[in-house]
Amino acid sequence: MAPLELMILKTLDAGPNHGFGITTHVQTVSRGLLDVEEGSLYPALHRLEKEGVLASEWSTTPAGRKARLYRLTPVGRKRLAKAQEQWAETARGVNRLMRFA
Amino acid sequence: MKPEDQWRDELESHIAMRAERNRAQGMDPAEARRAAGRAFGNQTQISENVRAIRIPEWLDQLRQDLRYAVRGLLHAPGFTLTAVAAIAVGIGASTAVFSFTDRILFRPLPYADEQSLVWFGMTAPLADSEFLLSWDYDIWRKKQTVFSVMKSSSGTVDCDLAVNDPIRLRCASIEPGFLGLFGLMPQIGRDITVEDDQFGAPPTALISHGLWRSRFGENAAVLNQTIDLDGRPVRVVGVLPPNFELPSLADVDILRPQQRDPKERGASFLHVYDRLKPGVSLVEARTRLEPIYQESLKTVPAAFVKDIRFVVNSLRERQVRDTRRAAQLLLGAVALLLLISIANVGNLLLARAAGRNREFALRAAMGAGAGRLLRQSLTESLLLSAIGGMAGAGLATALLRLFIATAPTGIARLSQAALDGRVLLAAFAVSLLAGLLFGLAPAMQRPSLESLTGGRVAGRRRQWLRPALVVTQIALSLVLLCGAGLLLHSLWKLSNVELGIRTESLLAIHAQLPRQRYPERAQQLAFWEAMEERLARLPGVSRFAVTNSLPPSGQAMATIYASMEVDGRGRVAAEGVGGMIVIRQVTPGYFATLRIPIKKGRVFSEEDRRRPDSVVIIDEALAGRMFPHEDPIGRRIKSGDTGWMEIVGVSANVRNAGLERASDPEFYMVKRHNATDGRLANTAILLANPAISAAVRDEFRRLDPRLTVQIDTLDQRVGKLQSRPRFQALLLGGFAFSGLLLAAIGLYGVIALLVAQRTPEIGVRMALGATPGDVLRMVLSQAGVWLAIGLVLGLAAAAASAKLIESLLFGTTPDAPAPIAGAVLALSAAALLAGWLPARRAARVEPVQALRYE
Repeated sequence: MAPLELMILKTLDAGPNHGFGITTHVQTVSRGLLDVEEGSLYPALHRLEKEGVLASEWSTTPAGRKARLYRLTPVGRKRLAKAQEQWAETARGVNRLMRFA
Repeated sequence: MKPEDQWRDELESHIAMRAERNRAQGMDPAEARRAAGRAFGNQTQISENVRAIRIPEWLDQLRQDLRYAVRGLLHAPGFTLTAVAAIAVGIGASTAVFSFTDRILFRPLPYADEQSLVWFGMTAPLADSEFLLSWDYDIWRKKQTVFSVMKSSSGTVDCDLAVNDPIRLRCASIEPGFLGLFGLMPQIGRDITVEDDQFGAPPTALISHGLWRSRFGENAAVLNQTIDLDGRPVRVVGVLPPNFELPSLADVDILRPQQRDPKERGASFLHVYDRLKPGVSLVEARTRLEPIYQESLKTVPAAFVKDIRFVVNSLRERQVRDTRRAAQLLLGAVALLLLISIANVGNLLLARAAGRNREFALRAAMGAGAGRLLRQSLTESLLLSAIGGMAGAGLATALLRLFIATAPTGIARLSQAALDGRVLLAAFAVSLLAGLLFGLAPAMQRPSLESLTGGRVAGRRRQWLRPALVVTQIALSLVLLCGAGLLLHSLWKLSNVELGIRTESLLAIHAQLPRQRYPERAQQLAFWEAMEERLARLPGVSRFAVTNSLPPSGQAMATIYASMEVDGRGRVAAEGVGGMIVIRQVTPGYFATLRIPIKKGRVFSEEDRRRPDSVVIIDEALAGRMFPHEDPIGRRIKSGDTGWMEIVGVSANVRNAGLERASDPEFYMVKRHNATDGRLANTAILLANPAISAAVRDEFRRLDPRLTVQIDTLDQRVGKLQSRPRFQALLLGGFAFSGLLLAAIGLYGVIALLVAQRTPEIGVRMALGATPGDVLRMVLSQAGVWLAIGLVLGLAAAAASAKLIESLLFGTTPDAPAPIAGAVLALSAAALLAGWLPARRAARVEPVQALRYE
């Protein structure tokens, strides 16, 4: 599971959001440490939607702009839970490796 | 919203939000927007990536291929138009012809269980179709053991329906149960019953659906209505179903019961249709009917016997007999045309592929896989086939309409021919297959990188295929052209048949007096003599004649030669030898009106018409036959019960059995003022002034307003006799012309490509001193070689297919030199022109420019 996917799923776990919202959310929450590239974000969003992990619909933002909102499907929630677990293990492993080396 | 547009909106909305954020952070609006766009990086690349996810790959590639194919076709409009036209002609013509012949040859007859239906009877020169004689018909019925049902009808005859506007109709009489034999029944009303058929029963009739529609407004009130038919009140009891047709395929408007007089001993001809008992074959039926036939033959006058045959046919066989040959010829012709058009399209595609060798090599070098390239060229040829197929469907509809409109009458069931969906589909499939095949051929070979250098490397191996296709086209076109040439030659011969009469500016007026209103021969004579007087008084009538039939059609009175006698010599021939003799009764003006020369003796005079004994004029053919060594003038002859007639003159021969058959010998009896002579009710008048047909009609109306009169020019009548050969020649001519055109296009395409490929070489040659004339010769000689091979093959094929066309020819044979030479010349001229155009271009090549090409 690529980190990009995890970032997308985790962001959407907080509630439906549009592509731009996802980039800003990741930046804000990681306090600028993580960045999502638009060039990879959209292909990933569309692929995830095709896989049934996400669903999308057109809606209007509070600022009155039309935007495509993505949200997690039940499949997505399961995928997120699994991804989180995997990521935690990976992180633990990497941490141990770093300490040991 | 399409995925494409959705994605654009999504992108747009993202950039807008980013720009807003940038502005909020203090950037100026223009910069904010630019920065937002920049953040996105390469938008096209992203869009491609997104689309690749959204759309299944094959669909996307198909779309690309299609777009590419459309663009490619639009870039080469000449190629596209020619290829589409070639496919359309192939599909259109073959679909139309198949639909048309399918109706004639293969469609089920509109009768129940048609396989067991039979038409049998005797044939004789006097009758135009099989018959049994009415006097022993009942014996046949009782003795036969092979049919479960056996029914008869009369042939069709003219009959006049007198309403406000009298019309002439076709009537036939049938036995009760006739419709049932074919599994039919009246659409409304009832069938003719056994009671209706009793001799002396009140007359009843069934009317055709067409008549019901045109004359009675499809109103059911027609039932039990009484109509005036031939001056007799007849009660309508039923209406025939819309698709009803007589098994003889003759047009018919009214069916009546036969009401045969049981005491009558005269014979009438009956058409006899039957249903075979289950398990009885045609051969068996014929064998088991033979003894009854031999029995029946004994009742036939001895003079006729030798000319009579006995035939048993399935109804279908019998119906398609006359049209089969023409239909087969058409099928053959259209198959050739289809082959030519396929070869042509293949050629065009191959030529185009060769021309694009460099482009394909470039694409391969850029990473397009072999599969991708293959698919691309396939897409293009399939697209071409699809467009061509659609154009072909349109063409087929138009052609079929043209066929039906121009076809002569008497082709069975032609009017019902409709475009057949299955046939169209099949033709379409053939063209798709051809597209697939020829799309495959050029793509099979992966273009080598060498062709990028501009040399002629790739495609060398296939050089034989295109010339082979051209040669094939030339050969097939020659076959078509030969066929068309032969038919045109026949038509020309037919329209130049020596008729023995002059038909120009003659009005032919024909009427038949209804027997019911003119029952006595004296009344009939009185009518025609009164009419003769009236018409002779009309202004502007210089030449004028009354006759009981008109040449050159074969519808005259006739007798058999064996019945003729010469005074003092008896019968002129042994029984059953000698064929038919035509008899015509004419007024003295007949020979002058038709410009028939009198070779010996004199023409009839008005005094002859008052003589108690008839005088005759015989034609040279009869004179040669009856009096080979003596002077016929003054001799007396007799035919059957005519009494002795003195020969007063010998006339030139006149064509009297139609245009295609050899004429029969003929003698003319003077039309006397005497009601005992020959046929009176059925009379024609010839008038040498076509401008007064309205006045003629008025005279008839004054004498009998209810009489139906047909007036046309003699030229029109003769023209009708040529309608069938004209139709055949027209059709085959059209095919041959299309084939010629396609072959020329094919040759042009290949030579043009050759010239393009050899441009550098030509440049070198010219730089080394070759003149434009040399170049022209070089290119043309190449075309000449192909033409020569094609011609030789074509002539061989034409000779091999000659049998098919032989029976349709008149006055010419399949090996007649003139039409074949004409076909070869036409094809050679077209081919050389097609080769000359690119050859001239080659001759104009600038050496320097051509060398730079390399």
